[in-house]
Amino acid sequence: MSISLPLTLAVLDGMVVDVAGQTMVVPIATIVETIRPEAGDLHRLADGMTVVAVRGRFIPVVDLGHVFKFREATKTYSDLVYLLVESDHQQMWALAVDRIHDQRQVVIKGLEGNYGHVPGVAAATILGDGKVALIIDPEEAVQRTDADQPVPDHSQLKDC
Amino acid sequence: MQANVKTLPDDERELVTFRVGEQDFCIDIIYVREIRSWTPATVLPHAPDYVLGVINLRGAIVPIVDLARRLGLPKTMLGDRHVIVIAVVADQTVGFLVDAVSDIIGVAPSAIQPTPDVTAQTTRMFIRGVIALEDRMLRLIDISAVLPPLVEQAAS
Repeated sequence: MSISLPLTLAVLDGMVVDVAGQTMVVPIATIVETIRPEAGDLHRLADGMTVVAVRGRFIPVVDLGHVFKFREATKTYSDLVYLLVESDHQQMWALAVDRIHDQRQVVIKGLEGNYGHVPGVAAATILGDGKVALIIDPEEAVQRTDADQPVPDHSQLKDC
Repeated sequence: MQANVKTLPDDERELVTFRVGEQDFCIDIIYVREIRSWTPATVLPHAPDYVLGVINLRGAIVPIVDLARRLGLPKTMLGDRHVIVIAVVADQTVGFLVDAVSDIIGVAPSAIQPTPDVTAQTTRMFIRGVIALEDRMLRLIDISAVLPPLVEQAAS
């Protein structure tokens, strides 16, 4: 069961991060902790997935820049900062971002009205400089890599 | 078509004319809310290539469509002189990137000729008719056809 809240007036505590040059917001409520692992804590699994060791646990890494197609899969995972998020099913993920800018409250602005739903993105907000930043839906963003397949672009199929 | 038919001015449609690529286009003025200069857009992931991103329009998040790309023309090379035509169609607000807005003209409905029968699919989809103006040809855009399709909730 789920309850949908009106998006237009909601305020959210967010962590403002840099993902491959794009400023994005991750809801604080979903973040368990942030880590900056040593290169030795990062391990590759055979299928191209990377995991990070945190206090003896291995947590799968999801590069947000790759999920959103801002860049190819990065090879320098140790330069990134990791946000540990926990999904509804107690599954932990480490979201890789380039930098953490700061933490602030943001007003949620819907994308649905004028554009539609963007996979992995919950909504948007407007930052102090007037620019638009997208608010990430971590749960959905990690599902994109779960499948780990090129995303079929539905809107492009309709277009000719 | 009869050239000497004099139509009443209130019969006229007002059209905003602008240039995209090397071509002249126009849309009905009732859809146009404002014209503003280009500001960099925030990239939208997984968007079609003609969607440049979203901008902040006084607190509203508005997607920007590169009209040239949408119409099947080469991508617009962004410069400072480009402008965004903000259009409102059925509660959906969208900005269209064009090269320059030229004029606002009044045109009698009879002056709008049907689109010449061409096979190009983009033309058939997006162009409602053509208007002869001096030695130029204005292409009347079907605004609802060039809007980015509202992306439905991805069923997963």
